[in-house]
Amino acid sequence: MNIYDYLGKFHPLAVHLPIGILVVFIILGLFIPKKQLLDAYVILRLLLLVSALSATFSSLSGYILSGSDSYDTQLVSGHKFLAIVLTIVNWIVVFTLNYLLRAPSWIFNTMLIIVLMLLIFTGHAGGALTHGSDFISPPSVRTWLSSDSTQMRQISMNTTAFEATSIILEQKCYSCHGKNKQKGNLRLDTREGILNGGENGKLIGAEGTFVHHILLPLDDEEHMPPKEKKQLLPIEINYLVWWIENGSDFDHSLSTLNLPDSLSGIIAKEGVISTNNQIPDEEVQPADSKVLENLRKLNVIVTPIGRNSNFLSVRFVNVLQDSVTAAMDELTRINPQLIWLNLDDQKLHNEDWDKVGLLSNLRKLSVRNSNITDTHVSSLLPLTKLVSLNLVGTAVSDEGLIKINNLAMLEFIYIYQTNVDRAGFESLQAEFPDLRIDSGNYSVPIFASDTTIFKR
Amino acid sequence: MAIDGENLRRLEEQTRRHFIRNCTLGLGGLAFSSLWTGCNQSSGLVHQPISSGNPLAPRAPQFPARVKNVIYIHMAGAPSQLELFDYKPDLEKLNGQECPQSLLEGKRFAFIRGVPKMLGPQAKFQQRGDSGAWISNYLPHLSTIADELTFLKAVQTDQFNHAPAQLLMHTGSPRLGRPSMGSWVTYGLGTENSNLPGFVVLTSGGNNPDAGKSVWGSGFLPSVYQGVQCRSDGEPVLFINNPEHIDRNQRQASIEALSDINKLTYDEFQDPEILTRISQYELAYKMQSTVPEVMNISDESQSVHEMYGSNPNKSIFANNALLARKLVEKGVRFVQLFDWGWDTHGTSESGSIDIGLVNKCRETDKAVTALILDLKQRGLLDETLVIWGGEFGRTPMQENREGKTNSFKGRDHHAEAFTMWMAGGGLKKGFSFGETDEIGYSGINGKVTPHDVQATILHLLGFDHEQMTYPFQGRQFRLTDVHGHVIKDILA
Repeated sequence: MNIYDYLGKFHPLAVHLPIGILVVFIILGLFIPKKQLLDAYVILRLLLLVSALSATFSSLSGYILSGSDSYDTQLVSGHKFLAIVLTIVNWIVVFTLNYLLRAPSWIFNTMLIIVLMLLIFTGHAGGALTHGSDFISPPSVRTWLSSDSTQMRQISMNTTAFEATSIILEQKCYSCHGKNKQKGNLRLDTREGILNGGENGKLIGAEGTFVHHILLPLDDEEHMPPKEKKQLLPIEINYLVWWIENGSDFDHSLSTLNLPDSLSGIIAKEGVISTNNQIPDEEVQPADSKVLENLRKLNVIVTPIGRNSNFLSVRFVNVLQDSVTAAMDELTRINPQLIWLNLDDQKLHNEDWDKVGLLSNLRKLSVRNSNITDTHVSSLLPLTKLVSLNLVGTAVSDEGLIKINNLAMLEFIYIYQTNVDRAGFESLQAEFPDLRIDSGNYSVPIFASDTTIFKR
Repeated sequence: MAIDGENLRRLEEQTRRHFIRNCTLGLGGLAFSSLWTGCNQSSGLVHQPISSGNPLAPRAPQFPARVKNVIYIHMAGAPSQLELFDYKPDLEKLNGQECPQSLLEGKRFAFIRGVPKMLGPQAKFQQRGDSGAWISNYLPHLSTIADELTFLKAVQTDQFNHAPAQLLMHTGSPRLGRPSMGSWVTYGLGTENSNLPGFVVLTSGGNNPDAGKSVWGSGFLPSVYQGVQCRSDGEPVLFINNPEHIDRNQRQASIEALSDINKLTYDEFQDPEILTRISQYELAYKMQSTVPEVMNISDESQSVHEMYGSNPNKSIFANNALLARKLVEKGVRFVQLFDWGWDTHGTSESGSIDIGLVNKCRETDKAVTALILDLKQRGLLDETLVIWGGEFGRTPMQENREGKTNSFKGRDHHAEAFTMWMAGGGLKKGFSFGETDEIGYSGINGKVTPHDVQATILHLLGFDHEQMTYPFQGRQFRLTDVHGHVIKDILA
């Protein structure tokens, strides 16, 4: 870089001096009587002279900068034209200030408004160049009103491969290779740009360099995105490599292109657990307080799910073995309100398990380490609103598991430490591809480092 | 006479017109106050009656909660974020150079004096999982579950000494006397298992945290809400066994008699501490049988011990992690794990970031990872919130105690930016929030404070932190004092 190019770098710094001075000048002109301004004539003129000189320097450095970097040519020429006009007007004001201050008000005010307008439009065009033209466009009213302001486009299986690619590139690449800036003459926000490549040759195809650049180690000078910029995630890199190696199809959806499972991580995930499905939309009448009192006497924990709700959550942890039957009877009397039930560690009689089947509004049922068996699972079949079922540590096997296939709302099922084997797991998963079955048995392997004690 | 004169003057100020005006406006004001709800009429927790007799009875949260239980893992001493989660390649380049004055001016450090040198990251970093979270090779196990975690990369505190910073983190104030987070939570929600305490504390690493037992104290809340510390060897809870020659029936009879007398006293004086006393006696009696059972990890299968790296014959962090899962499974509301020994100044081998810290990581990494996976496979992770963090971070500069270079590599206390993570229900999984500058000195976006973390924890438990209050010394107090915003960006 020669000294000439180096001067160009000062453009973004220099422009703010004339802007500041001119704004002060406009404010003074609008609010201070001209008579008093005439008294300060020498000061005003000096200020305007500094502003005109710095505006001239800004114009020159801007001209150098526009040649050294790739910007949107249309935006640049607009900015250049306005800036030159503003500089000339500034000089004219310097030399005619004495006259302007003595001239009729309308002439002086017109001049102020012309300067103001030029300032706004020049500044806006300049800002659009550095920050992108949509940087200060207001968000739509809807996003303004809703609390989460980030409306990100998300990738789903129906997204086309090009769309998915551009969602990734938009966040990490467009700022240098987009509409407003095309470093290395490369543009990634259009099909043509991706197909044509840049000054370093093609991106995709046999001689394509795209994969090469993103796979280079972080420290390599040619690594993209540059080290100091936001990096692509490993999953995004894998996706882009897959997309390019498989012919970089633009039009088909990810599902038609058979996106491999290993890349499913780029698909936007739903929230962890949708509590919404676990709470019915419509409120119910409060439960009979006498029943609640009876339940409390039996040591059953009954709590509303929230203080503003009549829906109930029940846990049996303190219930004595000989009051289980009585407690189950009482539960059937709060069926409309009862949505979450925890029977962990309980030993229920056969007829008590049948009573669970009567609690038709249950959304969440946990029977961890209880005595539930395959036979009892049949009595759960009327629970068609069930969203989450925890069978951990029970004797339930494939035979019982396959029965639950009419629980259409089920989203989560936990089968760790049950007698369900691989076959049962797979047949259930095949039947309900969206059901999240957690079979557990996670292991934390022993690494060599686990036993190495560090010393000096 | 002078006083009478003053009174007379004041009475004369109230003319008939004043009286009539006050009557009309006053009545209007009374009517208005029922139309608009004021500060003290929130639907919150103000004066929640605990007169049902059992201050620990389970209660509903304000609104449906995302999680029911909390396991808070505090690495006392403050682990170095720059060796674990906050990857700063630029700091490597500055390694050994003198710290610029601009970073030191107007700042106070615990031990750094004069101009320290910058110290590059000692660990090797890599992006992990689909989410690409940076986790160093010090935590090889945690790296495998990066996609389960939610990182807060720019937590900022205003305390740079251990005890006040720990108090701020757990009680919302750097000074003694406020209730801890676990106490607030059990005050708000009670506890489900009536045979176990609602708030259990387990410590490891050879020492209690610097702030002492106040970090699980109940402050001005009734003392029934304070954390119960269970010891990891010997008897888990001291002084609950029967005295010699007294059997369980006699014990029961005497406790019942005591409770009756105490109830009479309560009816007379209405002091909540009497209810505390009654329920503590009863709980201690019930705990005689349940606590040894739940605190005994030798019944767990060999595969579980392999997973956690736990060993019933030792007193180690891994045992506490396993116990945390068992306690939550049995309905304990709030479990607090403290592990001591993360204060890596570089003054000794065990307190260095390239030796001691590696060993501390090895002691805890496997168990923390196992805890999360174990909760997950038991279907408990969706209703439990796991939090991991220290009381502050560590400096990007190498510590130069009293102006001299320390004999080992170490970093001083740093309040401006450090990393915490959470896992569990209601959070965006595999998500990092906040960012620090190129050298990890201070947060540049997504800055959060301990009060924000506390507000978020209460939110996930179904409480508005501004409405969970307790009257004390003439005003309503809350965990987050007058601060705190729920970190909405990390909520799913």
